[in-house]
Amino acid sequence: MRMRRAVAGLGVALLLAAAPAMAHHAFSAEFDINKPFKLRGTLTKWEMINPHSWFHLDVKDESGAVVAWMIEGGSPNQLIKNGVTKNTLAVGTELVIEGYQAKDGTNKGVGRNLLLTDGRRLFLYSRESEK
Amino acid sequence: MRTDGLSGAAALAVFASLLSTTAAAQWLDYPTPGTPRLPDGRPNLSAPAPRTADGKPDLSGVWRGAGPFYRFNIAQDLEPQDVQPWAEALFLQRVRDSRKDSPLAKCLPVSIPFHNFFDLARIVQTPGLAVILYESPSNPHRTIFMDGRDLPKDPNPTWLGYSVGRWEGDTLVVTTAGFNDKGWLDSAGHPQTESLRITERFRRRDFGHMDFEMTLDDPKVFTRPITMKRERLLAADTELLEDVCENERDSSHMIGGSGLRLSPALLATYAGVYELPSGREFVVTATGDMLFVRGLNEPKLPLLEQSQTQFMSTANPTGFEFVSDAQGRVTHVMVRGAAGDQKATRKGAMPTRPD
Repeated sequence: MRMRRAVAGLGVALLLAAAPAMAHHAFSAEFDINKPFKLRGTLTKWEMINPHSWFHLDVKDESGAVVAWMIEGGSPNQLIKNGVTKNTLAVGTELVIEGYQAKDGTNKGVGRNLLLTDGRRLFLYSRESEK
Repeated sequence: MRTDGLSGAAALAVFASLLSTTAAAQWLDYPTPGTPRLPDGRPNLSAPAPRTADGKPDLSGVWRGAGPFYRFNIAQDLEPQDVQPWAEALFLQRVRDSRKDSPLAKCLPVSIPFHNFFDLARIVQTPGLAVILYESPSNPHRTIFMDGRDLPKDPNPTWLGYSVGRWEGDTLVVTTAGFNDKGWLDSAGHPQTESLRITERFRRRDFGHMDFEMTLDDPKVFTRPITMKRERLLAADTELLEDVCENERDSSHMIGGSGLRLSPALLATYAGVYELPSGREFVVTATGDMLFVRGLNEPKLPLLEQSQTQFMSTANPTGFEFVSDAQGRVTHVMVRGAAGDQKATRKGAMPTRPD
């Protein structure tokens, strides 16, 4: 019985648990798996408000112009349960975010990996499956 | 000897508490009074179920949802003839629209089945009634009256209906009716109607485990009552958090389906058993003009068509691209997700009974 449950847990992990965020909506409704991105920018605002956390980032494009992006993270409740507090991340922090862009082409995306510039990974999204 | 062991455990507990210095830990990890404990301080989940003064099992506590198995698709155990055609058609349309109009996406309450499979729920039991509080958008609650009253006749339809409970031995049997037709039974989009009647059976086996059974009887949606049995686990030493859906920034960006429809004949060529490099298998099935994927012991999930060969999971950011050889035979599928690209080799056609 114990074994069966362990196997079932692994099984769910294959197709369900790769979600970057505990979303209140379907990834496929909004984001495009064919538009992956890797952004480096400065955190200008961090919203820890349900149903999702949002990371607002100033990113310099190729011409040096600053472009504002907003990146969806895990739900605040999920992050809090993972030990995140409102002091975990300060405005002004340089971040590298990998994720997928919105289908509508706006500067909006969902985070898959959030890293500090020294490569340390921040667990600011949930590994749990979407609702 | 025994004293040494206890002091060692106590020292460990102190060390652990020093590590846990966040405000969340003080609130979310607070040891619930009245919880039976093992010598090391952990909750003893196999201790006997608590009982109330009148001898009934006390279901009070924070309980986890019954897992993801039915959360996406509540009908996955069913045969096609078990679902009314209009309900199946609406379900498939909602899948194709990436459930952009779901109550959850619009910050509206989710259904009782969804709650039962997903969220934390706190049961507060008193002699005459029980209250269930949910950690889900808008923090809805249910009151289950156990004072002998009947369900209301012709009530105003609501999201979570009207509930009465009675004991059958040690099992609390809860009957709920008076639903609106706006709720979705699962996240993928099976509808409910005002004729829905839900029977839930709760039996707390011991301190940490509850047998849970739910029967949905909605003759306008299903041709027969359907029953699901799962186990619920106590979430010891934790608390519900507020979940007000106030900062909704997604719905204005949501786009429905691709508008693409692929022929059942093409989809049938994709059906089969596939093996990942890890040796794990999954099964792709075609029902009409929709593909479904299912791994071992996993929920069966619909796949959204993005092109003739590319599909997208409706559950998470995982893409599936079917690749054929020069003769047009499907040889493998590339599974694209957060873990990178994985090649899953086609092992064969459909087993006769994949489920």
